[in-house]
Amino acid sequence: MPETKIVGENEYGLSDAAILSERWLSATTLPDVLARPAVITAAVEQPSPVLRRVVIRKQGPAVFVEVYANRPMSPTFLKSVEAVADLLSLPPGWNSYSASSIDHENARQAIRLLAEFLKPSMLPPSVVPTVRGGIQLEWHARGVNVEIYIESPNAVSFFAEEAGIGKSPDVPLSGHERELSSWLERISGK
Amino acid sequence: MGIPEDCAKNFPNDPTIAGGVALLRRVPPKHFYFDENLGRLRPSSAAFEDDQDGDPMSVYRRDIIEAEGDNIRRIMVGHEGYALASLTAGQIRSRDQTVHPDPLPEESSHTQVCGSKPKSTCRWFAAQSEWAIPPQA
Repeated sequence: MPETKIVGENEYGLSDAAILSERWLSATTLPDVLARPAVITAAVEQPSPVLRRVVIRKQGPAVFVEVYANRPMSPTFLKSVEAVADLLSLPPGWNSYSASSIDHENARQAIRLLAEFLKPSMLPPSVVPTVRGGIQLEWHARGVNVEIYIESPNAVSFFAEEAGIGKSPDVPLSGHERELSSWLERISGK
Repeated sequence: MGIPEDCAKNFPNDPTIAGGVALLRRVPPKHFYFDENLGRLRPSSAAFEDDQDGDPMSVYRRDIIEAEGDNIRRIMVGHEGYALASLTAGQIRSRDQTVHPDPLPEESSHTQVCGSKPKSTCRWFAAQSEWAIPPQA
């Protein structure tokens, strides 16, 4: 069974060279930051992280996902990143038909979008693989349905609706970021 | 929208399959989740896309399985943790799809659903489908 590990790193004022030199150290010596309660506790109620870098690499059967941000990462964000990382271990044909493995670039884009749109007060989305190697981020709560479709890093769209209120038909994310944020705020109850 | 030409030519609709016939779609664990709005587990729209290899979406005919005196669980063999969603042929045709019999040596009930499947159609299939075999708790 392939193994996926996530390493979250909060970086404060380090040079790129320092980050790069720490990267391998992080991956090999901190295999499971999520298991360290202190890290999770420190991140509670912090604003959304601003990502510095997302690194995805394969080492044998293991897939490592390293996330560098300039703020502590919330448990909601880390849980969602973990769900994205989990998809990277799916083999071709994972749906019993002929699905592709998940494209690493799509996973990277999903993590970027989570960092941008997922507020600590929100529920984490359902992270869903697609048969063509894409990823869907879905929320179905508080009477609202939101689905973000990542078909490629440059082909991201979303759909949103609320019963009795209206809907945003499938639209590209580019140019409609505020609209998406507005829908997601309804889910967070803000 | 209409039926695409390649579907009409290569995967023509079989009108002898009655509109009420249940067509079953295997749903992998990654394709269902709890929907707080519905208060139950539901399939994602991603479970109703065409195959990656360009083939139309595969389903299985419940009437054939039962006519052979068998149980629908036979199409779940080897697929631990999967659930089975059901749509009728009539529902599927209403979204400009053909229902085309494609019996396989290993599964006589295999059928293909051909037609354009924009996200709106996949969402509609997900919303309309019912569980023939629900996800295990």
